[in-house]
Amino acid sequence: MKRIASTETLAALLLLVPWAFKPYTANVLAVYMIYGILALSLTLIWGYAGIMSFGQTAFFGIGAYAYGAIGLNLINRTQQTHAAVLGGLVVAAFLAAVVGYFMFYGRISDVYASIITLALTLVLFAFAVSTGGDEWVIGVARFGGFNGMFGQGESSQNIANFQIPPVTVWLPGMAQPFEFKINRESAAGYFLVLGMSVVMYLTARWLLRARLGRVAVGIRENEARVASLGYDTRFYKFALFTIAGAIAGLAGILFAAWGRFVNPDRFGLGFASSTVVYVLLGGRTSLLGGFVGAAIVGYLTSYLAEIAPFGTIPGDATPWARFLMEAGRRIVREQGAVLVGIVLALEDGVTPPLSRLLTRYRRWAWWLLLPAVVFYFGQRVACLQADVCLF
Amino acid sequence: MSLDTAAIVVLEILNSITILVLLALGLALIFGMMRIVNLAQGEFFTAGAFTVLTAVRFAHLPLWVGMLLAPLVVAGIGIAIERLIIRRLYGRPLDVMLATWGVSLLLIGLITVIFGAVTQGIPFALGNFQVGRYSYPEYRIVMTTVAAGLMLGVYVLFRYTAFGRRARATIANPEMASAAGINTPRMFMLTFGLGAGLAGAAGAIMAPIVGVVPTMGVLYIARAFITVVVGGPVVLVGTLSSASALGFIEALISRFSLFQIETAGHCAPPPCAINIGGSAFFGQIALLIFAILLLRLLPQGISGFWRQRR
Amino acid sequence: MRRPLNRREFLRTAAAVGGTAVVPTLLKLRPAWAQGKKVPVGSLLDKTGGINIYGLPAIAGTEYAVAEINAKGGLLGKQLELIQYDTQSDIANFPKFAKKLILEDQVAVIHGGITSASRESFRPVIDEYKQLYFYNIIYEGGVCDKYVFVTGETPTQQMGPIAKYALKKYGTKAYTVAADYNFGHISWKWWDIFWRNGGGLEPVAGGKKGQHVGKVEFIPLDVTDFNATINRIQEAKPDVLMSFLVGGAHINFYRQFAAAGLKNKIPIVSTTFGFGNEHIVLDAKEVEGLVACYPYFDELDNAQNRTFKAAMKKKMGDPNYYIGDAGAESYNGWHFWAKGVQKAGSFEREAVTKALESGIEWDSPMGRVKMDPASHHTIFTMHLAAVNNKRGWNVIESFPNIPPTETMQLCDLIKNPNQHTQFQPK
Repeated sequence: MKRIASTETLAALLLLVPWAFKPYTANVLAVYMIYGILALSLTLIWGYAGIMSFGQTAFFGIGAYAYGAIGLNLINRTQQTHAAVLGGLVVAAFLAAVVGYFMFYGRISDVYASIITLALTLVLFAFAVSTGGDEWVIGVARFGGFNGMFGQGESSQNIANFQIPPVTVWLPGMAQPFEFKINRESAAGYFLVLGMSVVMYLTARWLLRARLGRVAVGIRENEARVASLGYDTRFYKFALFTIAGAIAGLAGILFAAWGRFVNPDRFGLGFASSTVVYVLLGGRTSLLGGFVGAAIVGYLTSYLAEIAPFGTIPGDATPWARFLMEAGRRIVREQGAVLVGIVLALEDGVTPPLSRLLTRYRRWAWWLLLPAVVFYFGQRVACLQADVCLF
Repeated sequence: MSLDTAAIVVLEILNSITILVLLALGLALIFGMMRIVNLAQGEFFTAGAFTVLTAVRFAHLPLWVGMLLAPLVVAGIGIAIERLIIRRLYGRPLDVMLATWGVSLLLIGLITVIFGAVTQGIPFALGNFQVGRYSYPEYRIVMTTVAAGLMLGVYVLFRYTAFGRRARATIANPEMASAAGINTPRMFMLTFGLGAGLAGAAGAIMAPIVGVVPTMGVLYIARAFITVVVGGPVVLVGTLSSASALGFIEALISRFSLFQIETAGHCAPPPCAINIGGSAFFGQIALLIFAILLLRLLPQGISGFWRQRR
Repeated sequence: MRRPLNRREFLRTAAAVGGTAVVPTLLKLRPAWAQGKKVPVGSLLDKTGGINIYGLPAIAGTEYAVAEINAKGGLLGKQLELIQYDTQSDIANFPKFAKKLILEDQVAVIHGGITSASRESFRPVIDEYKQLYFYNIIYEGGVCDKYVFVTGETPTQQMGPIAKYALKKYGTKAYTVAADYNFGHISWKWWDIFWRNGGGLEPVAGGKKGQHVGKVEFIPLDVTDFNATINRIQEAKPDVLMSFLVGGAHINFYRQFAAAGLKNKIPIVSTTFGFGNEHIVLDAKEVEGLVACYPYFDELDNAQNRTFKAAMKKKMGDPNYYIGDAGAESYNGWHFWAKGVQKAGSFEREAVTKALESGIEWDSPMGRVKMDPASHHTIFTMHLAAVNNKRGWNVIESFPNIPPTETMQLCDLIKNPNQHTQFQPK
């Protein structure tokens, strides 16, 4: 067996999650995957084309806000969100195209380009937080400044009347519109996100095999040489940047539909830096890297929010142990430390070495690890669904 | 517009330019000259402010002592960072960017752990003077004087001292300089330290006016970079011209409203209108947009363009 | 491209992956709750990050309140199990952890949210899962939601006393600066009405009426340089300045205002100053004399407050600990809920809601407080106070039974129970 088809196995296992775990787990995994799609867009533009863009979260946010604005306005009339999804994608891609044109056809160097994407994110953030007043509305969608986007009632007195709709479809032949949500009754929203993640992953893989991807990698390695071969490097950079922007916009749409909420933090520096950490941690040259990084950081952040601050350090711990625990807790929390450490030590994040590990020890993985994981999952499904529990 | 209002507008423009000069000077050395994208520059700034805070609040030293200490302390921090981290990453500009970003987050975290996340204050005793019916704080004039002094100091240092000559040589052509006997790693280290120290001085000077909080650097880093990028590779001319152009635009748009856009919200009294201009927010937006446009026209920055023309 | 793995890389990778997975487990401090016959209750507050200046006192008030209830035998014979999540001043964490509290921990009640933005980010989750929720922080008013109870003050509870005082003492011309987000915008709208009416939602008979000079300024939360603003204030020549500024960056306004020599020329009143203990951060010579209006000051002198202060100082291990409004309101919120549970004899949301809608009042460290049945908001005794020269407050005057009229006007959850929204002035 040349590869143990780890990606396919992973996808299959993820399919089982809503039956194996409580709904909250599906909810959380969905948002990790959304962040993973965002990180995937950064991996494409950075890992493969060599352009470090701080602006992916800008397109994420634009996609989310556009979906929200269109969705809020149309949902009561059409009971569907396809226009909102399309609109969000178009707006994000358009913005990416405009910015990309400015940057790449203006022959701005890569480093300056990064700074411009940073400026873009900051401008959008400053804009979004200033939209708190009444006058910032599109139809019934109220921007809301820091409070985030909500739908207004008929009178503007009623400012938080309804929220951004989840992805809703009403195909001919269906009795009712169908909403993709995640709660005790339905995991449709989770499957939607999972499906989209798979589609985006496959799209990215296809892109890289196609000419666009191979030229992009060439540009990363030696732009002058690629140009001398007759390729218009400006166009390829521009095209890849626009596509990456559209993917980030899709992630934003899914986010708005998942949380039914969007606010200016999506344009913030913190979120932009988190995205970079996901890609760095997971591996710049691995398409799955972003997903892995998002999951690891997400798990760590949750752990730190839930147990670490409020867990009691045992009262009988010596002052040294206490100090070490506190210090350890803070270091684990500091994404900055993680970032510096990874850049210096691991050249390329955790996923490539991990997958090399799996390939090297594939026999162990195939005969031991995989059955163990499958057994664990199977047991959980049986326990949760049919009350047949072993432990 | 009355005479005293005009005078105040001039003072506001001067203030804007001063702040940009202070923010950009250290980074002009580190990024403009050494081409190191140092995303931790904002934290050098913060460290300078906190040094003054510590000196005044906890060590009970006079304010001016704290202000002199700040650049020294921050230069030390800069040298440490250069040695430990940046040195390993020369030739990998994007990795430098990320590593310094990590350092920036780390420094913010460290400062928060030591000092807490609350905004603190540094009291100072200067008064204000009258401009017609307005009173204007004297301290801002002091800031402008210090900024001018720092620029003069950098100029003298690089033009007339041996160190300055060696530093310029190293940055222009490291191999040649090394062959000529200059200790290039040491030069890089010292220049980086100098850039850090300048940022520390800027932070110290601005601390009494702005709040001293661990995240203060984040607010300034973007403007610092924009000013340096627009300025171009020549340190002093670039910084001054860029700060002047951008500061002028920022101050003007902050003060004067350009026009209004009507929107469809419900407002009392109707109609709803969005004011474009006349607030600090629009001043910042104008600065950013103007900078992007300038860069599109002059991709090498102002001084780069000027240098090419000569 | 796969190249063979060498041992060093393997070790490094294993260390990195293992470290990130194992270290947290090693540091697994004993969680604050254990299994048993306990009732889980939830709290969502910011222990870390920029908002923690409000979060830390709120957490202290929360922990003390729950501990006090448990020490007296718990509620309905059961002990309370407090499950807290640190939302890290990141709004995205609120809906996430709210869902966790509801779906996994299955808590009987959630208290929390600090900024209005954070509250609104997860109020939809509350509504979707029909969860009982208490919001215990000052805010802009108008929340009208059957599942939500509010123990924080609304601006109009502050503005009546402030407007009347300012009109009497300072004059009729006011200039306003506000934080540029929903709280600032909506506060301005209410203030506009109150000031022009002389201190009420309707014109106040026989009093002076206020007028606005200059144009209201909305200042983004991260602005630290107020040069232009201060010049515009001087141009307008007001009798009094009203401040709705919020957060760490805005503290500099007061400092720069004093530096421009205006502290003694133009008095300041505010509905927000002090909530983040700004009076401790700033020097007396920068803000002495600034007037604010809150339901709670540490300096209030009543039996409950004396006990409360002593216990909190002991809990925090600091004899100079300043509790502030945020801590006291969280404490009150938990006790309101507890009294609702006791009156209902049950933890079920509908029963507790009905009990709380029957009109509960009690003597708290703030003095007498009452839960208004129809609006789900709290009626307080409000106190006007001025900053003194000891980084504290001197209480000037007290006004009992000030209701949140703006919300009560628009919100009747007994007549219209199916509301889940927020209102603002027309």
